[in-house]
Amino acid sequence: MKRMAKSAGITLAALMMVMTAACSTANNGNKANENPGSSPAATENPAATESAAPEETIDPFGKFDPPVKLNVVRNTDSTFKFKEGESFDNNAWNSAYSDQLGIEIVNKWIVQSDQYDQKMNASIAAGDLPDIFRVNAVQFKQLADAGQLEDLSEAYEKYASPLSRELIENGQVAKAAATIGGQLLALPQAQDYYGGAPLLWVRTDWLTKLGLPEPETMQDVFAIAEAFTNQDPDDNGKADTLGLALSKELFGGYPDVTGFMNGFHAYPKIWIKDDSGKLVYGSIQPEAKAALAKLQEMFKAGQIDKEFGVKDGSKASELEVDGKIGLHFGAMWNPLFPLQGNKDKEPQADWKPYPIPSIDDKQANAQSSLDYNQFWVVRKGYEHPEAVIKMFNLNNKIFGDSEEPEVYHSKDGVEFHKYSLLGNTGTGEGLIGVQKHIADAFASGDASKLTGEEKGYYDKIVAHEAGDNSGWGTDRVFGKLSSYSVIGQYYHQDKRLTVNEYFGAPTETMGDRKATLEKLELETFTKIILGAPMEEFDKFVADWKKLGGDQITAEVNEWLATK
Amino acid sequence: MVEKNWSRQLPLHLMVMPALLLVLVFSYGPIAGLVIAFQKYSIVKGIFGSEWIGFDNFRYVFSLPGTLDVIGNTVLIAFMKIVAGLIAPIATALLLNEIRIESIKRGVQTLIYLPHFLSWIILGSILIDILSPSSGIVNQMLGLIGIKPIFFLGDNQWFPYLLVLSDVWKEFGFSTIVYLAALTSINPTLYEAAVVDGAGRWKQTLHVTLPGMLPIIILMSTLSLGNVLNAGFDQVFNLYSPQVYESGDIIDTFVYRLGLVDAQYAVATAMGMFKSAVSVLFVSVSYYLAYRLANYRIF
Repeated sequence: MKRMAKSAGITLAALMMVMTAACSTANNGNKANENPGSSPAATENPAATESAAPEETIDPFGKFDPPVKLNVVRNTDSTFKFKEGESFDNNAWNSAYSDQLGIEIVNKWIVQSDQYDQKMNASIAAGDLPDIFRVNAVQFKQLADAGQLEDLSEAYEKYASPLSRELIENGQVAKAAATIGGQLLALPQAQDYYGGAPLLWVRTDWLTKLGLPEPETMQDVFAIAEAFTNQDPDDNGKADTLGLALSKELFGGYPDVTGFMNGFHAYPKIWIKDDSGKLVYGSIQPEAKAALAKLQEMFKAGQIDKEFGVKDGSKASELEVDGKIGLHFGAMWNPLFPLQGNKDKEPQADWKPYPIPSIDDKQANAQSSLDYNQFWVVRKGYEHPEAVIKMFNLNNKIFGDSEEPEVYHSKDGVEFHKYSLLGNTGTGEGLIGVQKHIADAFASGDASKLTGEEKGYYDKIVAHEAGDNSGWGTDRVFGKLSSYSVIGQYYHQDKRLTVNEYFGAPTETMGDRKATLEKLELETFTKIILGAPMEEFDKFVADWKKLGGDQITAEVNEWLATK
Repeated sequence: MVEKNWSRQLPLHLMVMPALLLVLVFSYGPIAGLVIAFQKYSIVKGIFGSEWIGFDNFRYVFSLPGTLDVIGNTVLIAFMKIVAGLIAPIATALLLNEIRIESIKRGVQTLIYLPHFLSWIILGSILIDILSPSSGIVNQMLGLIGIKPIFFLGDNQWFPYLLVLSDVWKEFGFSTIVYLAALTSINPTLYEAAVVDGAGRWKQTLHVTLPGMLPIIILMSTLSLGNVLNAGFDQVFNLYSPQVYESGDIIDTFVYRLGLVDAQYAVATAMGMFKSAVSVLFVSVSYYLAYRLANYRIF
């Protein structure tokens, strides 16, 4: 009975959502009827005023006079804190927007961050859009297709400050993703390929104990995994250690087979260019088969947890935390989770990151993919599209000059920078810069130039060096020898990075077949690692192509031709 | 006469009004939204703007490879759960009813009822540990009687049964309460009469207790038949893995990956509508059967 009530509840909720959509679409229709041809009028208007008084208007930091109202929407969670008397309606950033730019922020609604997308869906369905707002990739494409977004090309050309321009132009791919049909319809999210690139993590106190060299090739990795399994690195006299961490998701930050496959020059789950310049899907290439064969061999040799196939990432992490595994491939944040947990339990433990080693004499590249999922857009018909550019300029000026971090960044654990709009937009050096600045500060002994964020990490690293174990994770992400020192040196400077060449919205067949094809891929890869015959891979490739893969490949290449 | 009745009942009609309104607005009104199952639905275009594509969404779902396997898994798992979920609590309620010492009865009742309050997220993690073939307590005990370790969560032959077992373990205490309540409503004089006729405990159970519980048993089975396509999303989602997709992937997890992860609302609605239609069918049939066979009406 209870279960019935529950399913009824879910259905009801779904139906309610649909209902809201129904009512509101009606409104939308009305609005369009009331005001026929509103969009052409709106696009002509700014052009007219601009041509009338060009000199006045073209100032990247010019103040609107009289002030303009700007409807926005916000999301919040437990990390958002306010000083006494401040709120989303009244804080340093809102004051900066109104005092310096003449933009009065009006919050239409504020929701919990995890409900933002749904609430935005409801607003879109209701046709009740804010003036400037953030959408995800699917919403962006739907709004763009329906012609509900303002073209920002002209405002961007006229009003972007040199710094803003640099930040956007740095991320050419991001800019391309925000451009549809030659129109710049959004300010894209930061293009940070480096944050997602996999690293090799090895427990170096075990290396020292067993007298093994640091890994430089994949052969070294195999030797280390073998030794960690059979030579009792934890000295307890039991054969209870393993060589490589895996989880049932296989992919996903921790632990992640992507890095392992990259060592074989295989690039799973992303689109790469083949010799003829065509885009092909990485998971179905012969290199992936070779990597899977090796994983199968390691599984048979008892170097991989026999039960990895049922454990998700956080469950799988328990083995490393308990000191049973000393090697995995994973993301830059792994020191914070789960390795810090191991460090807390075994203070003598130490882990270091390494760039992806290679199986042969060809250099191995780490792969990285960005699914552009954040776009700041302007509602079609909003009279002042340049407002979004000006706000972006102002953000960059304040952050770029580290202007009054105690007002705009953070103080006493309250993070003021969260109140600013257009967060995570535009590309600087990203977190590689943070690591560099911190290293510089240690070299010169002068921490005064660090931004509030950087200072926070710096202080933790200082505390770690003074013996505070809890700062170890931060040290390994941003310190002298850290995720970002490896990423900066090998992936950024030496360009050992292969990126996903497809960055458009999901194609039609992708949308239709993604669930099926992903299931097929994950199921096959897992079975092969667990010992299925290698012919399964060839069967997977054939099935993948037949079940829509060929169609997707064609669509992706069509997209490529338009770029 | 009629006039008089009407005016006397008016306040009652008014009192039921708000509830009726809520039901109409929130239960019946949204049914209209099912129309998106027949559309190429886009949230921007909305219900009235989206293109009408007839049964294409249904055709699409059923053309996907694996859909039939998924439905097969769902029906098998759900059906076993329905049967086990009826037998276990009824048996438990009958046994508990025989216990004379009140404190033991209450104690057992509370203990078996507790797992109901644990969420599957927590239980999922616990089950992975206790069912582990290398270190789990279950396999260690099986080892004592000479059975080789079984990888319950990773073995396609065991996985569906594990789902049923763990679900029954979690929920049977809760359902037992319903049957215990039904037992208290049986007239004690019937037992006295049975004793006079020379019936022992077993005969009393068979001829007094069970017939007394029959209406509630029929009610519960009729309602649970509506779940024939609900194999339990929370549970499967937290326990399954690519290793056991073959035997454990059910409609709900499939729709979750299709509809929510990939944002194909129309397809998810079509699948949901299919589920509802099948459920309505089963509930109607069982209602009819209950009426014909047991002469019992729920409504």
